[in-house]
Amino acid sequence: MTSLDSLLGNLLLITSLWMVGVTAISTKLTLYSVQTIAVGALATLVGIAHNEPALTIAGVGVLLLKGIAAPLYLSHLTQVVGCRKDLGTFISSPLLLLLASAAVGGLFLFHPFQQSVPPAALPSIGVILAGMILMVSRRLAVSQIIGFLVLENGMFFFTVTIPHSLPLLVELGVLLDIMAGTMIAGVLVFQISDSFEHIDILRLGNHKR
Amino acid sequence: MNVHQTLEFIGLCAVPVIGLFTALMLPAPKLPRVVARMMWLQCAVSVIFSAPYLWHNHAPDRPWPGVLVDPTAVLFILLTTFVTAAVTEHTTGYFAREQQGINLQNHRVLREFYFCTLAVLLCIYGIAIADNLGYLWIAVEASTLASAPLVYSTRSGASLEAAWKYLIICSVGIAFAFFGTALIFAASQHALAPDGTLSCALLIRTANHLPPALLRFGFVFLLLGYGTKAGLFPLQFWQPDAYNQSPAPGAAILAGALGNGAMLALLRVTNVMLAAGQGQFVRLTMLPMGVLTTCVAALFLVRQRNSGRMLAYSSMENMGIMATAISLGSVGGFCLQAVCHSLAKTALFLISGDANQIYGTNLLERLRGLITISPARALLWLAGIAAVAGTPPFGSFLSEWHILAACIREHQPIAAGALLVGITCAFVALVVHACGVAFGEPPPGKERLPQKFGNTWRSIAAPAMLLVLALWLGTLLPSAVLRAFSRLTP
Repeated sequence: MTSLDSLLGNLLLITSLWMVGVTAISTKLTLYSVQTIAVGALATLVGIAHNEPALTIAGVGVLLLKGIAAPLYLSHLTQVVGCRKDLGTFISSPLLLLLASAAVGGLFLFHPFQQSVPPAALPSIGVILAGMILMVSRRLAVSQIIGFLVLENGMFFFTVTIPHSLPLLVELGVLLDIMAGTMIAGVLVFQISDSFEHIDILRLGNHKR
Repeated sequence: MNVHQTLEFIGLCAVPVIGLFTALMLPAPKLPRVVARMMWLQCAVSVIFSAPYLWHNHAPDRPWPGVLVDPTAVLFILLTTFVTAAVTEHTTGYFAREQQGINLQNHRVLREFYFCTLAVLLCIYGIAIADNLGYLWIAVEASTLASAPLVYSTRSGASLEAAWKYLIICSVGIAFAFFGTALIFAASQHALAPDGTLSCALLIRTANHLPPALLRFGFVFLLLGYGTKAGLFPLQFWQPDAYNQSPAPGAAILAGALGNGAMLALLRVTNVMLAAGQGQFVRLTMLPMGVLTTCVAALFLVRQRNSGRMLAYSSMENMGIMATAISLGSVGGFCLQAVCHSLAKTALFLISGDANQIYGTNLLERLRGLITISPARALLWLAGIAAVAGTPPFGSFLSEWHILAACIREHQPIAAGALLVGITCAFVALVVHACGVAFGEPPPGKERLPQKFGNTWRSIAAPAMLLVLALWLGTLLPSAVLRAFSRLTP
C-alpha cells in the first residue's frame, strides 16, 4: 500500500465519519464532493503512474460526474425541495458519530477479515460501513442517496487499491449505472415532494391507503 | 469477432430497440396494440435465434469477449420474450379499462410503462448472455433502474413509497454485489497474475488456483447482493410492497422476467464456486438461505389479506426453491422451476389485475365469487395457483420433485424436510386463499362482468396461453423434460 493510498484512505474515512456526525445537507454534500474528487484524483494518478488507461479514464469520470455533477444535481434538488437539515432517526448525530467511530476503530483494531482481505482493503470496508450507517440513520430521501454514493465510493476505492484495475468497460458501465441511479432517485424525490410536500421516508408509511 | 453471430445478435435486439423509440414517439393511444404486435414479432425472432441451441445441440457461441450464448442463456431469452409478449398483449385491454393512474388518456405514464418494459427485456438479454461478472453486474443494476418506474406507474403515495424502497434496497444490495465482484477480481489476480479476469469461463478454468478465503468472502457479498434482488430471506422487504403497488402488468414483468435475472446471476457466480471446489461453502450459505426463504414465505402466505402481496410471497417461496436448486448444482431443476414459475405467475398477475378491476379492490376478503362473474377467469386463476403451488400435472411439480430428490441425493435430509414443509404449507395457504376468491357469493353490485371487459375470450387469451404452456411442460414425458433441462448444465 503506497503512502498516497493510505493518506487518501484515511481522508475518505474521516470525511465519511464526519458526514455521520453532521445534520446540514449542504455540509454533507460538500464533504461528499471533497472525498469523491479526492478518490477520483487518486484513481487518475495511480492510472497514470501504473500506465493503466482504464483506471485513468474511470478516475476522470468519477471526478467529473460523481465528484462535481452529482453533488450539484443533489444541491439543486435540496434547494427546490426546500430541505436543509436531516435530524436523523432515533439516535442523535453526535452519539451516532461516536458509535460509528468505535465500529471503524474496532474494524482496524481486530481486523476481523484478516484471512480474506488484504489490509489495504480496510479503509474501503470502513467507508462502506459509514455509508451504510448514513443510509439507515437518516430520514430524508436525499440523505439516503448521499449515503448510497458514499458506500459506492468505498467500493470504488477498493478497486483502486487492488494491484490491477477492472476492465474499462466495466468501470464505465458501473459509473453510468450509478449516475443513472442517482438521477432516477432524484426524480423520485421530486415526485415524493410533490405528492407529500416533504421527503421524510419515515413518514411515507403513514400515507398508505 | 464472428460477423455471422454478431448479425444474429443484432437481429435479436433490433425489435426491442425499435420498440424503445416507438414508445417515445408514437401517439400513446396506439402504443399498446403496436408494442404487442412488435413483441409477437420478437417472439418469432427469438425462437429462430434459440432453435439451434435448444433443439440441435449447437455448441455455445462467444460472439464477443465477455459474451456467451449457451442453451441456458437462450432459454431465458426465449422465456422473457414470451412472458413480455403475453403481458403487452394483455395490456391492450387492461389499460383501456383502467380508470386510475394509467389509462389511455395518461400518455406520459403509458409511454414510460412500455419504454421501461422493453428496457427490462433488453437488460434480461444482457444478464442471460453475460459471461463476465462485471457485465453481469451492470446488466442487473440496469434492470433495477429500468424497472423502478414500473412500480410507481399509478402515481399513488403508497406506490411512491414502494418504488423508493425498491430502488434504495436493491441498489444497496447490488452495490454489495459489486464489492463481491471486485473481491473475486482481486482473487483472480492470484490465479492469472498480474492482470486478473472477470470472465466466468476463465475463472472456472483457473478455479483451482483462486485463493479460497478471498473467493468465499466475494461470494458472500455476491449472494447478499443478488439475493436482495431475487428477494431471498432476510433481504426480501422491498418485494411485497413493490409487487402490490405496481399495476398488474408491471408486477407481472417484475415477477415473470426480473426475478429470473437475479437468479441467473446467482447461477453464474455459483458455477465459479463449484468449479473451485467450494460446494460445501455454497451449501453452508446459499442452501439454508433458499430453504428459509421458502419456509418464511409460506408462513407469510398464511395470513395474507391482499392478492398482490399474496402473489409476491408466492414468488418469494419459488425463489427459495430455485436458490436451493442452484446451491445443490441442479441446473435442470432450477431452469424448469424458473420457466414454470414465470409462466404461471405472469398469468396470475394478469388475472388478478382483471379481478382488481372487476371488484375495485385487491383485498382478499372482498374478492369473492369470481366463478359467478367470470367463469373463465376463475378457472385460469385456480389453474395458475395450482401451477405456482407445484400441483401435478403442471411442470412445477416435476421441478420441485427433482429438487427434493437432489436434496436427498446430496445428503441434505434436513433441507429436504424443511423444504417439503414449506412447499406444503404454501400450497395449503394458496389453495385456501384462491378458493375464497373463486367461490362464494360475489359482493352486492358486482354480480355481473362489467361491460367494459367486452369479449371475454380475447381478454384472457394471454394468461390462458401461458398456463397451457406450463401445463404442456408437465404433461410431456417427465424423463424427457428433465433430460432436456439437465442438458442445459453449462
